[in-house]
Amino acid sequence: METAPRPALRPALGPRLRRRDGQAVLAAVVAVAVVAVVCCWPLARLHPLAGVWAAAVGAAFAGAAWLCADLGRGVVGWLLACALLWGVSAAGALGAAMVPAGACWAALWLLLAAAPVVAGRRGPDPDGARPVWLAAGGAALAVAVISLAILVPDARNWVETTSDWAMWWPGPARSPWSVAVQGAAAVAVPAAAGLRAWRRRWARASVAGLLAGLPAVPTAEGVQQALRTALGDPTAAVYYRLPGAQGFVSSDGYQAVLPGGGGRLVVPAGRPGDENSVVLTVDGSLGLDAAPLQAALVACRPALENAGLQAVLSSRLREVRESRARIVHTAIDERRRLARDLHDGAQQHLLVLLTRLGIARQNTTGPQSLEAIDAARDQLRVALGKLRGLSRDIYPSVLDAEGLTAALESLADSGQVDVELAGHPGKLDPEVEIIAYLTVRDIVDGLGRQAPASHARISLLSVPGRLAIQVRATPAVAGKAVESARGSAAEAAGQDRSTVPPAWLAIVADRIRANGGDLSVRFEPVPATELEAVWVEAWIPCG
Amino acid sequence: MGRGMDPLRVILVDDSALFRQGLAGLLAPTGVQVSAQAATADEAAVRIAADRPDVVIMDIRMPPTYTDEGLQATAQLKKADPDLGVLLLSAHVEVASAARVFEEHDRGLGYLLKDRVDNVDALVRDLHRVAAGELVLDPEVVQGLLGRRRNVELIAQLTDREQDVLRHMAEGRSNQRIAAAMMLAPKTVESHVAAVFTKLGLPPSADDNRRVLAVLAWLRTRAQ
Amino acid sequence: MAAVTTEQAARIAAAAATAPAGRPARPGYARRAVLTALLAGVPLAGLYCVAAQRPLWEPATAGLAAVNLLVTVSFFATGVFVSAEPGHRVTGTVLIIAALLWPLNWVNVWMAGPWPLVAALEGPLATILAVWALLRYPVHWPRRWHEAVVTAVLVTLQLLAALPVLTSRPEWRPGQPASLTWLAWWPDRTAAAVTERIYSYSCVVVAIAATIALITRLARLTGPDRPVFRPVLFAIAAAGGLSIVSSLTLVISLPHSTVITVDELEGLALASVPVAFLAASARKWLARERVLALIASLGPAPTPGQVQDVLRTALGDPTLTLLYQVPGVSGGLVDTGGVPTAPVAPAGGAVIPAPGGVVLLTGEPLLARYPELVRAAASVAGLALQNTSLQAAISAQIYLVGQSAGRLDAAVGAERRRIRTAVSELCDAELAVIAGRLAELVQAGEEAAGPARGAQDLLAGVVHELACLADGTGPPELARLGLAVALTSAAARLSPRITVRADPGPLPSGVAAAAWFAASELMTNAVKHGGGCAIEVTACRADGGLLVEVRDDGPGGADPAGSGLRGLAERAVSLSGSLVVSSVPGAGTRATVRLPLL
Repeated sequence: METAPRPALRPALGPRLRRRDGQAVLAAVVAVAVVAVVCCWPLARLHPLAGVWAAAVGAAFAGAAWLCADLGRGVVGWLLACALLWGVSAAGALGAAMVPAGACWAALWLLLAAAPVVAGRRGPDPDGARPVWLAAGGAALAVAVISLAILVPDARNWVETTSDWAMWWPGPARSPWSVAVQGAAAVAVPAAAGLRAWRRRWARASVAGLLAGLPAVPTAEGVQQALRTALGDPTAAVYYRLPGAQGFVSSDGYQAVLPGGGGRLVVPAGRPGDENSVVLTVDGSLGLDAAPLQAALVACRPALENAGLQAVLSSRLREVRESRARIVHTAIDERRRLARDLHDGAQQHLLVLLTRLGIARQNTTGPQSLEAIDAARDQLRVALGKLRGLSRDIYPSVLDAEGLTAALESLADSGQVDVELAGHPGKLDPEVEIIAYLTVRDIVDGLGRQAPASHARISLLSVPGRLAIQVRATPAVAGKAVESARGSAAEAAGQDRSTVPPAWLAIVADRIRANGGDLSVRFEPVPATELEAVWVEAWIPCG
Repeated sequence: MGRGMDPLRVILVDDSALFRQGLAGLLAPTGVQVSAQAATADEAAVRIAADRPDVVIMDIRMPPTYTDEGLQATAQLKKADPDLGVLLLSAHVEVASAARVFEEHDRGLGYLLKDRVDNVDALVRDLHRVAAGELVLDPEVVQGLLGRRRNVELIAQLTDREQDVLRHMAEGRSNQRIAAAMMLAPKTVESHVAAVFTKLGLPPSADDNRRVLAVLAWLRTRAQ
Repeated sequence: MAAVTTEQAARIAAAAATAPAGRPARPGYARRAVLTALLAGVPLAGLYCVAAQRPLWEPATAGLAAVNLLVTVSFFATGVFVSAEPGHRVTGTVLIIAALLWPLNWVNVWMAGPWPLVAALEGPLATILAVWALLRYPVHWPRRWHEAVVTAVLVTLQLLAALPVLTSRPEWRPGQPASLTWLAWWPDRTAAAVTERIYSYSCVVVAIAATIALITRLARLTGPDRPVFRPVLFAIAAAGGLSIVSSLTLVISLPHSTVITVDELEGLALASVPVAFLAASARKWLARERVLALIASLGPAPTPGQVQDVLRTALGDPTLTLLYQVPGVSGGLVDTGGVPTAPVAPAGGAVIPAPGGVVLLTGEPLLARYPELVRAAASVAGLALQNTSLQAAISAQIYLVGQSAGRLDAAVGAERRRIRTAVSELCDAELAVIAGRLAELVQAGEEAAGPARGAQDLLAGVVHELACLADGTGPPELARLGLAVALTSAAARLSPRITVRADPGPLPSGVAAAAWFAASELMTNAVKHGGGCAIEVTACRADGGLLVEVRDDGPGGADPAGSGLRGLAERAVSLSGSLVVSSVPGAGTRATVRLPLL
């Protein structure tokens, strides 16, 4: 029993926020954004541009919190805290609030510096959040370097000139340039968050855009190939669940087992409520995010469902075809066994009987006994002849011994229809040979029954991968029997008369199709006569 | 008759012990001596090397594959000793393998149906013919060839006598034997043979065995 | 509804095979041209702006200069993008010209030569051009006279801007020396003041009117344009509001620094418009994905009507009609009701061929501006429609193959019966006669009587054997002598390498026959594929059933899903038994058949 595949990764809050949560986060974001902007008003009064820039940075942090909502409440809280701290430290333009502003500023840079340490681990990064942590770390580092570069040369001056510790806090409100530079450093974080959100939507849209690249009737393999191209992963594979919990089928219609583990990402792509009906596996080391992938697959759902339907149905079709082929092969095996049993058993014993009677005859003198023995031997010979004929009918041993050509030649010698053979295909698979033999035999028999005294030319041609059999039969008299059989069948089917095969040919066609080949029949009027020639073309796959 | 006045020595090779028994029993009262029996081709090779018989009576279908072990063994035996006579017994009429065998070894070879064995006199005669280096082909096989649709019209051009002569020729008989079988004078037989060859467009050939092969070839693969 | 002629259908098919309407013939070329224009033009425009405003790059006014640079560059970039869109080359060019004219507004800070004159004459030209271009985008005016009116109004405003220049002297403006080049045609203080006032008020009026016009035009956008252009709407609202305020400063006198601030803010707001445009075009590209998500919400086998409804919602066009191909219908295109329809668009609309044999008829020409969106939507619609027909096609195939298998089964069964009848009747006459003759011989009591008796037994054996073969119940020794003997003789016939160990005791005939057939088939397999190795056959009772095992240590690698083994398994299962095959490549094969007994 196949259990549902467990996805290797699961984003923290799910691909979309639940409605209630989303509203709460939105409210928090808006509130914090407003607070941050308002806090920059004192700075704006002094330096308008600087104030606007500081407000923009604060609002950007709040906006980044909204964009990163899918990373979890922790990240949202972290970004909102950064926004608040930035706003408050910008408000330190008011002289009295310099100390708390400075403290907030310090806390802000500590938060930013701590982010990559806490969250930026090595290894798979399914949410694509690593750039955000790196940006935070980078911003903190940049400001630390700049502050040191500014402060350290002045440190001795300060120590001498002032004891106002507040002046030591190089907060943003020291000067417009300080705002500009620190804002530029800090805005890397919301920019990274924005870039992440942008990249994910872009990725979703571009993967979803692969639908325009699909051929007009996408097969399951076509969809899988398109996904491979779009994702850049030549080992990506799509599996569809068979109905009735019978396991999964791969894109080429064969039953398959899901590859689990080993660094492969397993992404369910089915409808909500039935996600595991379609599963995509990709190479985990390519760094693809699971959530945008899933969203892109949602957009591709019609193509995937189509493809899944095809895969499932073609697997069922294959099963039905195999069971049909099995019918034929079982029958052939039975016949072979029967012929062998007849030969090894009854025929052998009758031969022995014959020799024993021959020995007895040598030792017998009485005329009655002699007559009885002779009569018995005659009957034995007749029986042996009949057995031989039946055995050949059931399964021509000459086929195993000498090949198709010889078997067909002996067939040609014994029929009512004048058969001319052409083409010597050489050694073939025994299964192909028996099917070809049965086909020719049934066609010749059928022709003989329906239009006796015809002339048939049978050509065999061996091409790479196929054995082609062509039969062209011209009846010696107007083949009325063929006509009527064909005509009534055609009328029944309401189809074009010149291509409907007679009933006996349908069985031959079934047998050939059961082995993966095909048969077609055509009736051509022979010019200047009332006759119609039968043209049968069949091919059997071999090799 | 065999080599000199010694009785003909044969080896029976067949996978069915009952059949070998029966055949040996049949041959016992005749002048043919069954010097050994074997069940498989390998065993036969050993016995033949030890015994040096005149004729080997060999079944075509033997273990392990039951297809053409007999034919392969024939090829090996003939290569080792071209003078050895081999009489092949077949349970089915298989024209192509018979003809192929005759093409490969043009002397001292016979192909009979197993049913034929119960006619002991004919069997002994055929054994002697094979031991003498002639070719023997089962009449039923020849009948099948003569009866082929595409041959029938041309053969109908021959007179009855000529058709009989053709049949005997295909069965491997020399002019002498044909004369004996049909109770005709040898000269008559010769003229009939010449007529047959002319009417069928076959090149005349001196060697009896070659003649058989030519006739067989003609009967099998006459081009349209 | 008129039937579609074959040539129309052929034309549609040919059109569907090529790019849909609206896409440039060589998209790669257009993209490269855009990229070149951007990479070359933007730095040049920036340099030009910087050079034109050099005196503004003072600490006090650096912000304004920076904002102007931003406005120039962003409008330039937007103009390049817009001119690459089909049907908006003029709009884009005008935006580029507006971008290049913007810095001229401030060249009066040079305070020398003709520059103040240029600045004064140029006046609102840059803004006018930008407004005119924005009013044309994304859809042209519905009527030509609308556009004429707007153009007339804007031209009038420009002329009004020129009037104060013509009626004044340079030194009458604060900070301007008299040595400037000027066009003083009829200098008159009152006239100058009046014209100045008229111009200022008309600036305010036109600013208000332009803002309202822009906002209403954008708000009236339909279909996919609506969500795409929402950010532009907001940006223009902000820019409009601020330019109203800024034009008010012409009327109301405010301190210089406030004016500078207002100018800065107005510039920022204006610069946000191109950014909004960029965001809009990105949203246009992303809108495709949202459409697809909407369409993906269709059920697994949607009707064409459902698909059409979803397409109408997704593309925002209630007049959309969906036509698709159905094989066998002459002409090929039917609508969602199954009625053959000609692909003729309503007046003013468009016919959009799409891959998958789907044609969309729409009354909205704007969908032609979203070719990728429409293509994607239509191809998804085509897929959804194909789903149903695919199901039908493959189900039909499965049905046909099933029919064929049924026929084969019947034929095979009939042949089997025929062969069996032939076998059982084959030699009835002859064998009966022989039996009679043998009886005669026995009765005659002569030398032939002994052999005749033996022959009678042999004959009886042959008759029995033929009867068993006809029944299909396995070889006669199976019923007579048991499974063990039958297996041994079968093994002996096959190959000397097979050893048989069997002591199952008495068995019901059906189970014995099934076990014999299975074992002989497995033995044949082993001989055929075993490569000459030893084969061991065991048959014994175990766990209330019969266990038949065929083991060999050949190359292994048998495929349990292969046709032969699967057939065996099926037959075993049909008797409530099982077949287990374990075949490790290189370590031999072991096949076990288990058949339950009672």
